Amino acid sequence: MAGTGKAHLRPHGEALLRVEDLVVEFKIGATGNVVNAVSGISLDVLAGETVGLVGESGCGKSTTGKAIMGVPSPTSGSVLLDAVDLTGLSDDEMRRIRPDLQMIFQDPISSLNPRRSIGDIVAEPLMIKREDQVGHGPVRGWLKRYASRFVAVAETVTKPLRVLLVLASVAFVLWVVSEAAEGRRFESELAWTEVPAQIVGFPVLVILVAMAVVVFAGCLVWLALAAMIPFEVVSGYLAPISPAVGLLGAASSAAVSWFMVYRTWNSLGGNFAWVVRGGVLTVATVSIMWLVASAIKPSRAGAAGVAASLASLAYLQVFYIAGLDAVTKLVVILASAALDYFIVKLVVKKLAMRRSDTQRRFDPLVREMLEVVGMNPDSTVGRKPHELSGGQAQRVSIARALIMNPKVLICDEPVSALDVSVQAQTLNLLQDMKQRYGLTLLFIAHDLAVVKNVSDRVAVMYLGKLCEVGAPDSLFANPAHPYTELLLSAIAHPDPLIDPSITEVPADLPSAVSPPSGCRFRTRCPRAEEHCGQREPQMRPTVVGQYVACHFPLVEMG
Amino acid sequence: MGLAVDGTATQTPATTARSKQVGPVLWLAVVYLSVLAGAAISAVVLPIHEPDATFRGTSRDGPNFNHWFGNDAVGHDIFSRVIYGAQVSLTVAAVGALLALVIGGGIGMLAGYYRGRVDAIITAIGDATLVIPPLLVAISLILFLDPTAQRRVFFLIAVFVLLSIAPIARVVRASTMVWSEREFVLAAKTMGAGDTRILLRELLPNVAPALISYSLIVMANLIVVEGAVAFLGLSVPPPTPTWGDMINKGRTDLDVAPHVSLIPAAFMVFTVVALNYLGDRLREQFEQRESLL
Repeated sequence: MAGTGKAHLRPHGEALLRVEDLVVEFKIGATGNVVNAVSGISLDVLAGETVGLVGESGCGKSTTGKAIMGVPSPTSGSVLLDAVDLTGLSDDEMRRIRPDLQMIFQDPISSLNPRRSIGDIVAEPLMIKREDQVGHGPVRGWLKRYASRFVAVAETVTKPLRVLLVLASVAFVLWVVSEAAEGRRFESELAWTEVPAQIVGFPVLVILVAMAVVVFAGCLVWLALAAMIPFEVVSGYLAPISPAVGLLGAASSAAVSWFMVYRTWNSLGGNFAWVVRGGVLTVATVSIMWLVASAIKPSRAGAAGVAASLASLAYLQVFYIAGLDAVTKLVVILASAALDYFIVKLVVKKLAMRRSDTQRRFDPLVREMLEVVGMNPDSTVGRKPHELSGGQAQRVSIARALIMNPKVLICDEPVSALDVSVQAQTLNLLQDMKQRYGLTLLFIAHDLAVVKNVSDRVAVMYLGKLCEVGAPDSLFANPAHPYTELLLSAIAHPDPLIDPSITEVPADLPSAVSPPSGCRFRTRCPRAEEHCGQREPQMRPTVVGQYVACHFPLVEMG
Repeated sequence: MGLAVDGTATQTPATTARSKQVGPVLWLAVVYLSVLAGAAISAVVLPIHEPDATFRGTSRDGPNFNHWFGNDAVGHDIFSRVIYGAQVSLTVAAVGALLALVIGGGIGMLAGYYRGRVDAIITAIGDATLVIPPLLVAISLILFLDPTAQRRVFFLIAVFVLLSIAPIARVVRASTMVWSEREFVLAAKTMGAGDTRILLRELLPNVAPALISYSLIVMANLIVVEGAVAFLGLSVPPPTPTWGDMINKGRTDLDVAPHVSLIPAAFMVFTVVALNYLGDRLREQFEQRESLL
């Protein structure tokens, strides 16, 4: 039964998916031994066809499915999808082809990330594809988009104004740095160096420089955007926050900033270092308040908007009372406004980007897909996987696989972990999807009844090799391979009159580390003879239409 | 949690309520830590005595209206010194734990995800460092390298980070290994997600609770280590007050003025207990959610 040979394959060019001599081996630690999980399987699937792959646990059927997907890549052999050999592709090329080839897994709950919402999970393939187009990886993609938006907006300002802004920003950076240096010079006389100086002093300097750099870029963006942002957008940020939380935040922020200003002015005489420290502290305080506010009220954008505005307000106050001259004040106003913009931009965007992007761009598609698989989008999108039943989770998996509009769907025991009643639902859903989207299925299962139901062609696998391939009706009616017969007789019939003793299996599955020589099934085969251990049988057609790899088949050969 | 055949509500309200329950002790810990951290951060602007000021004739005074926690042998205000001491303790511990969280978390995730030889080497180094008592390492490093007093804080942090990386990486590695086995990681691979994406989007959210809760416990340990180092006079040098130094200075007066040592000691104990409790509760919360699956 060690079916090598390709007699059962349809001519080249006809099959959508064609697997030839697929071998998957796993090394066992440092022992040098190898698990022969899949040893030379050849298989083809026509467009629109469903091929069922059956066999006992451990026969390598799931490994075959995963090897076709390239996780991990097969040890040798070829996987042709639309005449393109997937095993020879680079990672990038493979990533581009992935959408055509999707997979559904056995354990529906485990195949969904417990920390992400259903809407997020179903949109994930789209996000991956989109990020592939935008840039590599989430961070770079985000930066790239952000930078392009930044440039686009900056371009809308007239050129003289841009030059002026750049000059102002440079001036401000120089000013901040010189003031900071000034602050350092006072070290010996003023409070700057007091007790916590060695802890606070250096970081404050770093923060100063960092702020100056941020402000340098921020001035540009803010001024350009301030003229462009429509009022609705701003009020849209602020609207969702509850008045009570907003008021509470405003009140405490005002109190804190007043206190800071009072202390700073009163006891320290407007020393620059202390003013900056007050500003930094205020921003830190308001940021913490923002965290609290967003924890209380999930409308993060609104809370962040309010908090950031208050931060810059408090920051301004500190500077204002410090009695700076008019020009400096103007620059500081610009700077803190830029800081405001940046806090909103960075915090809100970074936090809300995934969600908003998913919702705005992919939400209609995600909802449609969920509806197609029979879930109510409104109640499902925001839920987490652990709130779903097994059947529901499998529907979500199907939706996730189908959202990329794949050509081939590999179903790795998709119903084995489900209740019997839910199995039927899921199988019907798969049939519907197949018709609706013209899918081609490779259906891996150990349940013969399920396979017979859904398949146009069945392949029986044993210990990494194929035994028999054929149409389900003829294969089930006239099994040619002793192993197929054994599998069929092992089906549990709900009839007490049938004697279960005849279904007894001769022995356990041999080890895949050192499989039997010749025909791999010979150790359990009732018809085995000496010849079986010496030569490996090849795939041959039978008179009734299936192909079998056996020296002594149960059906006459054609 | 009951699994409906294919119905809607599968989670009973009781489990939802339980997983979100926040007990009074947890609140107490959070409030205590926030107040302490807030006071330490804003110590320079708080209306409290200068930590260096010596008040004439108040030596070893017990708590009173002017000096809430009393005074030490020199006449320093203990309340003010406790708050300024928290600056050192919390900064060193928090920065140390944070850096260790980032570095150790990163190393642990990489080792747990990629496995193989890199993992073996990292694990071996990690296990080796785990055998050495951290306090001894800290003390001998400080004594041996004897950095200038100015840079003592950064040196302390560096030593603490080095000591904390291995235990954090170990926890994260184990957690990452478990989560990498789940099928959603395989599913992400079949969708074409790269390793960076899988690590950040699929694994990190699942590893984060363990990482954060364990880092809190590491932070508590660092506070104790800092205290011990300060007790030996090897932490941030005077005049900067530290809890360990305060305990040390009050040691000789334990019979006549026990509050000089006991008050900073109590704060250290409360802080460590609060951090440990917080870390434990976070982990519980996390495990509870897991068990629902």
